[in-house]
Amino acid sequence: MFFNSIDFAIFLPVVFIGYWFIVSNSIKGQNILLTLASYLFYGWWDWRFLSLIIFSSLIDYFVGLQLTKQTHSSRRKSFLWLSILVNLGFLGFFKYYNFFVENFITAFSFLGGNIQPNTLNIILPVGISFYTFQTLSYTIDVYKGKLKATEDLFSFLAFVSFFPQLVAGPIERATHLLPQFYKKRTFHYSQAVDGCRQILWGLFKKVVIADQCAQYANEIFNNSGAYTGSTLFMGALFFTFQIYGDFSGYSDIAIGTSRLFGFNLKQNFAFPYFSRNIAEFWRRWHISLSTWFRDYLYIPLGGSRGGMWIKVRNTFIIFIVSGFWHGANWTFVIWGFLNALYFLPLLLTQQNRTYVNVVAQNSSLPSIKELASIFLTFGLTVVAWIFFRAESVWHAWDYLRELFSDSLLSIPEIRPRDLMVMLVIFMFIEWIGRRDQFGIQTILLHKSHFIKGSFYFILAALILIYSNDTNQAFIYFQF
Amino acid sequence: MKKFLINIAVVCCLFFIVDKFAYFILIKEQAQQQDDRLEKILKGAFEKELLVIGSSRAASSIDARLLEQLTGMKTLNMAYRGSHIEFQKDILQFYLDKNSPPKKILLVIDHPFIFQEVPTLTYRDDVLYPYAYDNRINNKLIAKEKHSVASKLFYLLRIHGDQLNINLDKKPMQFPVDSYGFQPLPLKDSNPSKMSFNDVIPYDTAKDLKSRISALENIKEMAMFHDIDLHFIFPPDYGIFHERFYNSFKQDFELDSYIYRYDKKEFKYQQSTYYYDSPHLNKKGAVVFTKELAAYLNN
Repeated sequence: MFFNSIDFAIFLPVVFIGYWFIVSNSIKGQNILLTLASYLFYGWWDWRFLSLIIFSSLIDYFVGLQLTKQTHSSRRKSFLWLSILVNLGFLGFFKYYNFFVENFITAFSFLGGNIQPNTLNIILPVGISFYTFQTLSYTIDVYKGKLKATEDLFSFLAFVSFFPQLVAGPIERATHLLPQFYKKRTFHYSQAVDGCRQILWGLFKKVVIADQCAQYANEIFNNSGAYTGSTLFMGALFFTFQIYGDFSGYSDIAIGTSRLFGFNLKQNFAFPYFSRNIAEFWRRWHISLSTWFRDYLYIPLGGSRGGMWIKVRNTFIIFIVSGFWHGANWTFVIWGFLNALYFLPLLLTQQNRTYVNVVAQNSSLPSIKELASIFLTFGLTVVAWIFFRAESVWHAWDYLRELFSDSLLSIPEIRPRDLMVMLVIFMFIEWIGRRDQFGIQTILLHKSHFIKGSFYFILAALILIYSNDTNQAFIYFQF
Repeated sequence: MKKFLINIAVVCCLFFIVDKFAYFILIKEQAQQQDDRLEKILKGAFEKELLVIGSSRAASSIDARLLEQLTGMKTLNMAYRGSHIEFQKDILQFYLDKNSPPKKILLVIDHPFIFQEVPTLTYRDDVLYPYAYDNRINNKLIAKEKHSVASKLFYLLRIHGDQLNINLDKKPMQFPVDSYGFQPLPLKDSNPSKMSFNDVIPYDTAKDLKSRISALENIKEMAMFHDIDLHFIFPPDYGIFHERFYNSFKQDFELDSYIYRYDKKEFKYQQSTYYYDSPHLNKKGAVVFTKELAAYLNN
């Protein structure tokens, strides 16, 4: 079920009431309720997906126990590999089987051969990329001794299937989230109110910003051959805001919903479009995924140890794999590669850790230099997003070629004034809230109830109004 | 927890109350419509004896004011451009719910694609949106999955993003509607080229949609229930007339109804000067066709 649906609007209060009024005195009760609710939430898409997540969870629960029981290092390694192969095997099959078959046939044909394609009609289980990485973090951390394996099955099942973040993240580490299932959660008023505020902001980003931008982005990308360069630029810009509003909006709803149940999830987006360089952008965009790759791929590959060549190699591997994680299409690989290219100069000049604080930390406005850096970084990401959105590499190439033609200087054929005003106001609010966990966390907090209430009412009203106009799925559900 | 639940309840109640002010946005939206036929239909303001329903072919080919003068029957053209038969059925339903039933209905047939999915004929939910304050209209939009069920409770869910503007001017129409519902099409400098059915997608009965056929049958039932004479009108087309569709239609729907078709052999209907484009008469052609219809009705 979608977060912005009537089904979820009914589901959430029912689970909330059951959680805090029926099973609140028992940790086990809370965990069982969350597990069942999460399976109901997940099975709402397709009940067949449940078998996969339950099987994957049981395998990793079993592996965790064995990793604790076994003392022989080769046996422990075998169990770890079992977990990795099962999880990545499922992911590889459901997500990448057809991609590899088609590319193999293309390569074979290029060499003069002829094979009949044998692709399968595979449905990609929702959220498989996310919960797979989440459970892998558990087995890897248990193997490394960072975490003690749990014997509490329901805690573990609840951890894997936790519905707020099950289908599109944030990808939580077992070391951070699993221990929260061992303790009885108690209700905190301020945490719940903060959660509600974050849900409201997340819905605004998704329904009002992302879905409205999607209408224009889709029209322009789907008919890119018919538009001028300036219009194509608008299309890329709208997609840039669409993907941010969509994905960070979902994360906000996930984190806010978790707060209602007494859980703290980690921030997944830290205002990435205010980044001053690409390195900072990747510390602020989809933080849970980039840190996962850093800890479980980059560091085991050697990380920053070994010479510059090793660092460059590892960086490219991470970005390309990260691109590939998003989908079985060369466009995602090129998107990852492009980001690696952007990152390379910073790596070579050792400026990848230059900006670790918030931009304009102690002032209201950025300096001219900071503003220029923000715009440059933003421009680079807009170009990269073209590959992310395009149907194929050729589509992206044609799009870029027309975008950077003479017609870039013409007046765009599509320029929705209301939406553009809304985007400016949205980014203004995000700018004011850039030091917080989410845009409206502390905005107007010290003003009167009437002013705060009016502001929240306007947000809610816009959400309801714009929910009529479109029903776009969350982009990251397809990953 | 108690404080949280009380606050949530208070906020929801306040929201529910303040939401009702959204009604005024919907009323403003209605007031901005150039075409106020549906508003009057919902208010029960009509006492017409002759109704014309259909799509743009009906809207532009039949001058309701002229028809009224020639037949002596109070006439309203209730056709909506680009609408298919399901929408036309719903408009007729809205009319009959609140207004006194007419004596005759002229249903203009979009031959030969009346029962098929074509991009030029849609369910004109955009016509209904400005009137969503009316529960019947909103219920219809819910049934069509254009509005959420929750819109029964919240007016905000009946509003669309493009309705949020402070401009109070009437929204312009490409082809204005007169007070009788007639939407005349202008004369063009260049005349439409003759289309043959080689140029048109071949008609295939296998593509007929059950919902469209049902809509036409519903119209027949409504006419029978209210004792209304139902006339199916085949308007002029600047191209080859699809005989096979006509014969099939006649066979299926002539019972308890009347069918009138233009005479394609008539010289006037072979003149491009009467046409705006292949399926539509211009205002000059509409006068000619309307007079013919009046003669048919008077006999």
